[in-house]
Amino acid sequence: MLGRLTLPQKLVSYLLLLLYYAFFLIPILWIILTSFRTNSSIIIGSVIPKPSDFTLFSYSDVWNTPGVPTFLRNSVIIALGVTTLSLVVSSLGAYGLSKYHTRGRRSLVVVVLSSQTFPGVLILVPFYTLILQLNLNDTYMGVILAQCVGTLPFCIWTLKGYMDGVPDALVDASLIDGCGRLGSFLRVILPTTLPGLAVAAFYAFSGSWGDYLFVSVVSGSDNTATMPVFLYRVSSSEQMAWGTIAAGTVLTIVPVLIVFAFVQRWLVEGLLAGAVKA
Amino acid sequence: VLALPAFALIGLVVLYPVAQGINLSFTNASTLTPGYTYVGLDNFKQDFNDPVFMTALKNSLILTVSAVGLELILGMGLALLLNLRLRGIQVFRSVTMASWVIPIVATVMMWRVLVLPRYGLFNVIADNIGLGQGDGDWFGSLKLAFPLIVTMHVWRNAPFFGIALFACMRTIPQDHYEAAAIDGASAFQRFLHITLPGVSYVAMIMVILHVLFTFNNFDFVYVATGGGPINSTMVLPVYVYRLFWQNYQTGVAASVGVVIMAILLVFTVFYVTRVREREA
Repeated sequence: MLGRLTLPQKLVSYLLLLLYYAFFLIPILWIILTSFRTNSSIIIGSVIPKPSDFTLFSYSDVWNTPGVPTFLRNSVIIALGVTTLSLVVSSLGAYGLSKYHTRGRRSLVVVVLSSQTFPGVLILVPFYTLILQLNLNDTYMGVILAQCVGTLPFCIWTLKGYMDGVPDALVDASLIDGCGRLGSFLRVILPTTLPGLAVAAFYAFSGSWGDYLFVSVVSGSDNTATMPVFLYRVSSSEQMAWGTIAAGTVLTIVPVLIVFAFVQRWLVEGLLAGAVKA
Repeated sequence: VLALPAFALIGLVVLYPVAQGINLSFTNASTLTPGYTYVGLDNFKQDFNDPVFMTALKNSLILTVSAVGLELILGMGLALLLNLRLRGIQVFRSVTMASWVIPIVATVMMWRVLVLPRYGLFNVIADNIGLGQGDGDWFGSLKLAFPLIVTMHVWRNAPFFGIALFACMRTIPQDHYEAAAIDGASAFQRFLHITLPGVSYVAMIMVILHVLFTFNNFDFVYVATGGGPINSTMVLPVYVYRLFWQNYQTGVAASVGVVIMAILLVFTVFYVTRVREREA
């Protein structure tokens, strides 16, 4: 925007910013606050607790809830699996789309783009049968495959955008210098598209970490269920203290926020390049 | 050759299920009995005579229009603020996407804790300023459940709109604004004639993507209310899930899924063609 702001303009701007960010941040701060309060302090119904009301009890309570350590471990294993599989597969796919101008490329582009828009619930119905036929229900591999439904098209498209920016001359030079196709991919393409890889990895990780729909259908038991399944279960049972639920929610939020902090500066650019093609 | 695994996997996990889903929508398939026979358009006729389906369809449309509309308006306002030269603005910019990355199930839990009867923050504040206590569980309320679903959608996605539009505003050359100011254009005129045209493409794509996201979204409603109370928040994706998982009507569930896809088709086509133009 233009020029400097006058003092009243600045004050109004800050006021509006505070209003916006109060709306965005208060739900997060409130759940964190709730997770550190004693349950008696929660049900008193005050906004600011007394210093003596702070406790770590809810965290030990949620950790000792049967299944929670398993759910957390499953969340980590599955999210890392989805991230790895999505990155390996989509970087190769994006390389093909970006650097090979073969017949059928245009229709593949349409397939990848439109795949992002299909209803997950429509995919789910036949997908469940498919998983049963492959004997993958209630396995890590089954859940990982299911979550790739949501991550692959976006990752391919984003990475393709970054790879389009790598000059063909650079690829050709590496081929002349004796790199094979694979060598050129590993030594030239991948290192120059690192920010794109970071964005795709984050998208896959957070998509998997937050998924409820697919994991709830594919994992039939607690063996492969993740934190969102746990949260849904406690929210519908109403048996658990709110402090404990809050602690479980914070445990679900924090890992993805930490990863977000690392990729934050590339994320917007990457999302815009990928989905929006700005 | 290197790209083959990618497309084989997309075929397996996306294209095959979509094709099979469309196929099943013309059958009487059920999870209770093996095999199925084709029943033509019967499932679709049944859908449009089903009052719950019609409620879900109406709710899905209202939810999508109101949520995406609010996201665009709030996002535009946020983008204008983020684009200002203010001390500390960088801090605001960097935390903006936080609500977008938080798992939706966790978001629902956060809002549930906010609106708890008696001791949730909202009810405590309402009580303290003399509005009295809200009427029990807000998510169980016929009046409040649906607005809360809209609010949660807006809470999650408006910052993404804001940051996307802001990123786009930054690419508008500064001298356009300076030239307009010299010609005597007011701040509002500069917004109307320089900023808006500059961000219109990104705004349009964001709207399309969020129409698709909102209309397809299952988690928010399913986790928050399950579609209740008395179907007042029922949306089409949750209804598909219920038909499939609780009524065992695979064929009917698939037909509702196909209706969702058909409604969104125009957005899908628009998105694919515009993005491909941009790519070429």
